[in-house]
Amino acid sequence: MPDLYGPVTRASLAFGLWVVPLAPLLAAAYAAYLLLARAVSKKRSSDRDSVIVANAALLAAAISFGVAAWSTFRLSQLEEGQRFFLEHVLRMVRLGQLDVSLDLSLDPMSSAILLAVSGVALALFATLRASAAPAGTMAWACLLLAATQLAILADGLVVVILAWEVAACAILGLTRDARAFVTARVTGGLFVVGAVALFWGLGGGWSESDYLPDLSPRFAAVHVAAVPDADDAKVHKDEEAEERRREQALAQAGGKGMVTMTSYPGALIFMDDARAPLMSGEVPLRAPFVKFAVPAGLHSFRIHPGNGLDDYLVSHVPFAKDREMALGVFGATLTFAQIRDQLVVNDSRGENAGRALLLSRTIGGGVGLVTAACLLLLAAAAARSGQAPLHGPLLRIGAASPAVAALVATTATVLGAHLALRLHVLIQLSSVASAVLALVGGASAVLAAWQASRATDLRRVLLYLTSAELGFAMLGAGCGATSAATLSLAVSVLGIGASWSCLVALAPSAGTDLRGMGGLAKSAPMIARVWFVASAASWIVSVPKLAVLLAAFGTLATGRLPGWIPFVLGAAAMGLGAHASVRAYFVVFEGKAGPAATSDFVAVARGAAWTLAGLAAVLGTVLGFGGRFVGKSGLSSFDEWMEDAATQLPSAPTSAGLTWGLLLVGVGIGVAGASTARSRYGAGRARPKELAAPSSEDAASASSASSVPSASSARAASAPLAAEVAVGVERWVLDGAHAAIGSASRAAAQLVAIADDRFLGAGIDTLADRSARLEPRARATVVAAFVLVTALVLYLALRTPQ
Amino acid sequence: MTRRLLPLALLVFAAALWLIPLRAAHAEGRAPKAPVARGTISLSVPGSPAGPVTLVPKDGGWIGEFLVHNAGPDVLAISRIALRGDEDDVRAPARMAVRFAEGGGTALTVPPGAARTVVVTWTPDRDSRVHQAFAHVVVTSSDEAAGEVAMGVHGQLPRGVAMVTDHVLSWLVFLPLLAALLAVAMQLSGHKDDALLRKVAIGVTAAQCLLAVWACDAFNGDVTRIDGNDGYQLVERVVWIRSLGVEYFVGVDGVSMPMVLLTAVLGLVGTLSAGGAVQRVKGFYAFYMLLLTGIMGVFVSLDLVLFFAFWQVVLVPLYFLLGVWGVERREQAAAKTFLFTLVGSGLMLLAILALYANADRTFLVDGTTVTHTFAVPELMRVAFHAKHLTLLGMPLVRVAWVCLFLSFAVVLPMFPLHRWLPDAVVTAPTPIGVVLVGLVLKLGAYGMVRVCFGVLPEASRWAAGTVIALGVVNVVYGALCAMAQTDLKRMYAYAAMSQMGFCLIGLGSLTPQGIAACVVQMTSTGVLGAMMLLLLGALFDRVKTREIAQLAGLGREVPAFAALFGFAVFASLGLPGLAGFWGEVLALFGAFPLHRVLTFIAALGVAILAATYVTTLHKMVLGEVGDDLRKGPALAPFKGKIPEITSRELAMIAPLAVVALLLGVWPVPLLSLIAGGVRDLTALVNPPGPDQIAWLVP
Repeated sequence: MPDLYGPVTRASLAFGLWVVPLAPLLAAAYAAYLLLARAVSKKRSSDRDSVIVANAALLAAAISFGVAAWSTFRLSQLEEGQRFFLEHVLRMVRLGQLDVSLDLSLDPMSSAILLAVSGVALALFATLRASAAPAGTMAWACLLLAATQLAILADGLVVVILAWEVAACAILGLTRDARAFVTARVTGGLFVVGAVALFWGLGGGWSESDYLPDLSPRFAAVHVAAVPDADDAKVHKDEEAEERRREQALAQAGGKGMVTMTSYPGALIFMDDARAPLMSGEVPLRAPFVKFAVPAGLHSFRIHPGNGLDDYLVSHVPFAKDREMALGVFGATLTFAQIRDQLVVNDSRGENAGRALLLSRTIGGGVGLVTAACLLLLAAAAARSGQAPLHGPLLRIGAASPAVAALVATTATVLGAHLALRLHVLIQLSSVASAVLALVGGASAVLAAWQASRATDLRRVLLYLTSAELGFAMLGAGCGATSAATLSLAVSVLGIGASWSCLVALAPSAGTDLRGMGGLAKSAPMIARVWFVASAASWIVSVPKLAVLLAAFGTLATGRLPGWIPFVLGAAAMGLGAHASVRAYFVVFEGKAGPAATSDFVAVARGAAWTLAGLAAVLGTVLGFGGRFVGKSGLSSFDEWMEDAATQLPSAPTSAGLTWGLLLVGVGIGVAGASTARSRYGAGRARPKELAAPSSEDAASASSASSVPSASSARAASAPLAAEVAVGVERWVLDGAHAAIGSASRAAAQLVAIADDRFLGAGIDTLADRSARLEPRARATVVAAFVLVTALVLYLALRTPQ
Repeated sequence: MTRRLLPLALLVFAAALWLIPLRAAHAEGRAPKAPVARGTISLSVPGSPAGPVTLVPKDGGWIGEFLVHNAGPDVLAISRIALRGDEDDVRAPARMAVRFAEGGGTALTVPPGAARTVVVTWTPDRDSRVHQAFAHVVVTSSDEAAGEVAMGVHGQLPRGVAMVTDHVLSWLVFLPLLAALLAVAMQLSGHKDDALLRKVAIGVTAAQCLLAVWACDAFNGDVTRIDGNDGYQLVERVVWIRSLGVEYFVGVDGVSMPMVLLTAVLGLVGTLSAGGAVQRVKGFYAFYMLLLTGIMGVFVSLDLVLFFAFWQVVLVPLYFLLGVWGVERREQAAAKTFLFTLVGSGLMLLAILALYANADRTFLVDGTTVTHTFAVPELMRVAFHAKHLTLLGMPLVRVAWVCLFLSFAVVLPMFPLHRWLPDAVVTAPTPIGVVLVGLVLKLGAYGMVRVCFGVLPEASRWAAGTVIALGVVNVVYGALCAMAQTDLKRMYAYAAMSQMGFCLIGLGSLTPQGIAACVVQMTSTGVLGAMMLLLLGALFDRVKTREIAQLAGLGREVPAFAALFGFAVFASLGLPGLAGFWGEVLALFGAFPLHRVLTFIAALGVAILAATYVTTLHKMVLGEVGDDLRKGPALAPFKGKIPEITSRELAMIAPLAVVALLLGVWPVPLLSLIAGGVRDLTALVNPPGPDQIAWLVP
């Protein structure tokens, strides 16, 4: 076996990560038990139940956030290059080379998203509790939070889809939107097929006409170093003699090396033909373990995976003093860390046979396997994050109460963009997948921001802006700017959370119809300030977004897309997003007071909203300017923090002048977007016709918190043609396509059922009916005829050799 | 009159189907008498009229003896005594040895009229993986007329009460039969106390459940064929019809153990659900218990005659239970079910006879030489493919395989042989529905695994692609049919058919993941099917309608019922984290490398089924209860309100829900149970080749 080298994942074993999703899960289970017990005992659920459940949920969210923050702090204490926590919770499946465990991992990328999501959820839970949400709603909300956190922490694709589907189930419970659930199932199916394709692409023997799957897992030892040193490189030149010399040299040098194994949890490790496993203290050494000391020299390891699988022998593993070797899976796997490790490991000649083979594999029709797998996974991710044309489910969550919509928009909706970032190592292998991701993300961001700038309902404005934010993160992921996109996503979650908090505070008294709002800054100055800060941090001068823009310009210039396309899409999205956000500010808070009035934040909501908006502004600016995109600030940069989690493509333009020029363009576009909004909707301006005060009927319907105006509400009397077209596309094309698919399915079902009854069923039913009336002799004749016909069919079928 | 005669005629026909081959086999099995040799060999066990040798504990090991007699007038030369099997064909467990008591060798001469003692020893490890030893000592002598003769050997490590633990499978099979006999006796004696019979039935099925749990605990999932006993555990094997080579041969491996446990659990659930609602109690319990006997028998049989006999035992009570205790169009449903399965049985019988007729010479458990056999492990060793047998120009192996496959496909059920299922599910009362969907459908998939793929692996490889294609058709067709239904039970029947398609997809993949998927899917759909039928039964008992359109507003009216129903729906549609997920996803994992397009279509089928389930759930849970229903006669006794689920119903359904959750979150116990069986079957149907290596290994 060749010696392998590479910067494989250097994990530290963690304890306590499981508390993060478990706390809200237990709260959900408790609430469900309480409700079920009430139902069976025929007692109505009381207000006291709601209070108890809300308190439990808030406590669970607080615990969850606390553990996430503490884990992130501990992660930051680790040495650079080793910031990766791994925790094995539960073994789920071990069959052949398929190993699925409930493993949680925390790396810098996950920690940033986890903190943002958990923090926003904590704030929204406090709001839900203050608004006396029913116990059932709190139960579903807890389940949603647990599933979201599990998906963020998951270290494998199977656990991700598990968490996604549970989240979809929770959203169904919260919003009653069956169509969204079906969409999630369909795209979940695409996800599974993508995962399966990737799994088999990483292992087994492929040929033109056949595929031979591996029947057991394959392991190999890897030098935990980026490149081989001079001594290591010699080994392959002189074959066995050199190996013996090396063994002697290693043994004479003395000291201890280290072995690490973080895959196949529960596997027993035997060393050097021993019949008993290695002992760690008084217990057998089981994976996962980190840096277990072994004497220097050449050693063999027998790995006993259990579950009826064959033992696997990894022989001639050289251990030098204080050097670390990692035993890992090489071949089919579904774990993020193992996939990444296989793609960064090289042999002593600097070649990566696994990566080369993976890239050479096709699924038919000349389509590369990596491309196909990535596109399937990304289609599922786009649907989860409400990217066009699959943004219908995201928009329909507006039908729920504002707090619930806020929770869904800031938790489960983030998961698609998070997956796109998680898979960046894989996506970067396929220029097609990268380009598609960048284009879909960018185009979605533009369309969503455009729709937000035309919408007349505040909920719809925020839902579109959420979609635009997530599209921006996906644009960054497609461009290879993983670090900047991660920061952008985390800051977006905070900014969206702050904006939604404002809406939650406004909606009960002022409603959400923009046509009935105005001048609320007087009665609710705090809400106005929070909204403005969040808008500025998210869109007008968002440093993370500028970093994504620079990456967009720099990265794809060498790919299949000219660099200016993602740059233009990103810039347009920034401008439109700033316009939409500031437009909403002026329409709601400035100008003449509308018919609706409101009071300001209650204390809890005020603190939460200010915290979120402040964090979005400060973290985005400080960490963004700390990054290499916008020059060093002397602070520990987010890029350095992300070093362990993200493989950056060389993305920023090399010329400082070009960098600053592009930055100015980006800032200018954001400011221009805001300025046009101010010039059209600002104080003292006449209210445009599309925002003219609604009729009394409209006002009555708008005051209902549960009603969301349809997309057509944007079609005000004198709306521009472009707006008409955009709304028309959304309404007729997308909704029409959805309806057409549904109708086609139902029609196909009816046809099949008719065929089943008329053609298959008719004869058999008649036979059965008549058999009850027939004489035995006639019945025997019918049976004999059936057997003869069957035999004839068989004869004809079997004569043809396969 | 005709209607009354129908079941009798069908019974006679089934019996004839069973008896004719036995007569034929009997005629074929008669071996010509050998001429008397000069040295004539015979084997006997001291103190016993016949074999096998029973090993007894002695000196830290297990020892048994038998005698080699020379009944002829001349010297008999024994050239070799040895345990049957070798490294490539492991039969006996490890650490077993045989020698002559005199001299300790394996060869000697026996003077005329004398006898020599052969000693068989077994020294299992303290933590031995197998607790039984079934082996043959083969004796080769100068008696050419007798040829190679053998003596059976049987050892059993003690575990608990031998009367029960050594025969646990027999207890599991025949315990329900005791209740059935009691019911018949009570009927004949005119006993009126139905409550007593109910208590006995519950007691018997509860005891069966406990025994199954013990058997599961005693079963080692890691045991494979290389551990001896052909990889089977808890084996019981005695000669049944010596002249025909038929044995009472039962045992379990990783494929059958989950089914045994499932049968016991669902048998108890079905008995509990029968409650006091059933009319003609004695007849019902007699047939119901007979049905459980047949199902359990099929799952543990390792002799094809025994297998076929139990298969028939399933069909007959099922016919009567549907035809007498069904709710609507019951006679038609019963007749349809019986017709389908009867034709299937005929095909199965033909195939079994073909296999028997072409099997190789072997030994029964006591050492009797037979020219043909029905024993599954022996048939698995026969190279049918290499014999190049034909029937009307077609390869006989393929004909037999297709006959067997069709006979099992009827019960699965597979498109286009599924038409009996919707009627049967709609007709069946709750306890029968639980057993029908939870267990009877699994017999089809199990039969495919045990007989089609186990006995005829080459033909299975030949047909693998077709099997996957049929599985995909089943998934999509069943899902579309389910979508079009307005009757809730009929919708579920088609959904169940769709879900069973994944068993075919998994089996056809010939990969460890796919084969495991088949067993996992059988288990999970068994649990979920029972849960769903209990819920639908409870609902029908209250509202007396199955029309989905009339069943709105359950979420507000009966929230606990709605929650459980929602849980069952989510689990059935394969939501990750619940029982239905792993079978489907493992099947997709198994099938993808070889059939990518079909796998993709199957995934779409899952989405169609999910849409059907969720739409139905949406209609039923949301909204308000309709006036037609509320003011109708069904709810009049309840003052127009649908009663909430009762504690008794909850006690039956909640454990199944917990199992469904556990299987989804932590399927390791189930997968550990089946690991050895899956490994054996994979190695048999898809033996690893030299190219099945990863890229790192040269």
